[in-house]
Amino acid sequence: MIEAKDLSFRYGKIKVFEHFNLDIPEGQVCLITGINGVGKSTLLRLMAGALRPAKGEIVFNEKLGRNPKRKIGFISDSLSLYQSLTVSQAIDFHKSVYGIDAFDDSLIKHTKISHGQKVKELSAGQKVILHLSLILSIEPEVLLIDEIIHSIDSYLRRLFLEALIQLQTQRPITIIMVNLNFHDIEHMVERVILLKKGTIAVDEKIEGLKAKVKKIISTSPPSGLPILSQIDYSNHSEYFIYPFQNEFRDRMKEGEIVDLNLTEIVTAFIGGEYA
Amino acid sequence: MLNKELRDALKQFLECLLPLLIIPVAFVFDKYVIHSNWRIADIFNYAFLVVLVIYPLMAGTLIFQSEKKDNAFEYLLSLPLSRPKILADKIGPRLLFLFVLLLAALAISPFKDVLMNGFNLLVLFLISLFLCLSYTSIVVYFLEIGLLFWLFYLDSQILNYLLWRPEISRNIFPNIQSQLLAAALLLVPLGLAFWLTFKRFDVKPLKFQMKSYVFIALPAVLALITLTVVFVKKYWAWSHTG
Repeated sequence: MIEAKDLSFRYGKIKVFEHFNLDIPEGQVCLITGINGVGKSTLLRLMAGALRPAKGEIVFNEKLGRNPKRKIGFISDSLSLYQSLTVSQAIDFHKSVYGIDAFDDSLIKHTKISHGQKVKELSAGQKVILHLSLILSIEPEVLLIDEIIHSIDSYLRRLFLEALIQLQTQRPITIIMVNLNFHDIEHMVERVILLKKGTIAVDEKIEGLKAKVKKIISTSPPSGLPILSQIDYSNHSEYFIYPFQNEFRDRMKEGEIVDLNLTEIVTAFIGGEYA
Repeated sequence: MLNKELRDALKQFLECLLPLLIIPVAFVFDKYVIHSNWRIADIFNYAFLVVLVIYPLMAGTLIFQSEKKDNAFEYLLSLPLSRPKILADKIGPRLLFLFVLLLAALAISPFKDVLMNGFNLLVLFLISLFLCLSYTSIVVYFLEIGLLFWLFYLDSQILNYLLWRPEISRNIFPNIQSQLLAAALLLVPLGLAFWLTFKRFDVKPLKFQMKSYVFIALPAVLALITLTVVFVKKYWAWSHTG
């Protein structure tokens, strides 16, 4: 569905991507993560067309037609919209750009957004819901969602995620999310991509990742195991192991092996980056 | 898109008409304070001239105002709109209001030559437009526009002298060919730099997107300044003799 081909991008002398390649198939829900400044948002912006690569290209499935942007929705972390417009004008603007007549405002009805309000008067969460409503009106094939879920309140977050889940149940839609707060989206994500210095450090399906990353609680370091990161406490330490293999269980003389959820896994990887 | 730009352009147009508010103030000031018997028509003409100069300057300068003010470049660039379409939708309404102003000028006749001055205002609009992507400081930006417009004006005078000297008398307004040539010498490299920048424009910081201005517009303007300096003395001497 989306392919980054030999992508290079830099901010002046600061290299972000060099010959970067990534392929995301149709209908996949993909989480892109990594430490701050690694290029997660930059990658989404490149996919959305808000940034242009220095070299290489982003290729979309032919199914998206000659102008793939017509079927791509992008919600950036800066909540970029025409803030001076009223909600009603923003909707009309969006409809005119995409050449659509219908707009389903059922989602924004739940959020106390009035059509006469200016976009800049809305809360961050309301802007996210408005932007999502605008995007849903174009029946997107691809949704690019930057790190915004954690910045909105729990009610709007639930509303936002329910809308995404509903969309997914209706038809296969490719969703690429950048996030550092994984608790809410764990059940949606199929694939996790960890970026490191402009390259893909980890690219795993979520089940595979859960099987490969384990925590060992022990008083001494597990010898011979690949330790990703560790957290030390006064009387014990937690060792995050990647890639974990079942044969390690036999090798271990002490300690307890614990399964991890997505948040803990990604935190372990990010902790490893800072170690 | 066009509706929004029409609305934005109309708002800018109305804001630029604000100097006309000086008319009743000046009239009252004259009547009760300085007693110089200013005529309303004269005050109007001066105020209208200010509007005529301000509008093309502001229309060009503020063409991306809503994107800058609203932080909406990211949204705009992610929409399925081509760069020529964005530009056409932005320039069209602003040109329309510029022509409305020129039509008004034609009716009111604050200029001796509306066609010639209309062309000058179009050049001012285009200079402001072509520089609007490149500015970081508003003071420097307006100085640049002032310098470039002055360069265009001086070059049209010099070209007039160099190319059509035998046919013209001294100190007259440059003919339209000289103006067109001077405008082309200035606007072609500026326009090219603007277009190449806009074609690849994205949400990177501006400083990373100035290549075309540095490698096309700047050398062209420097070359133009050099040529102007070379010929200005001759022109000056010619225009101030017998």
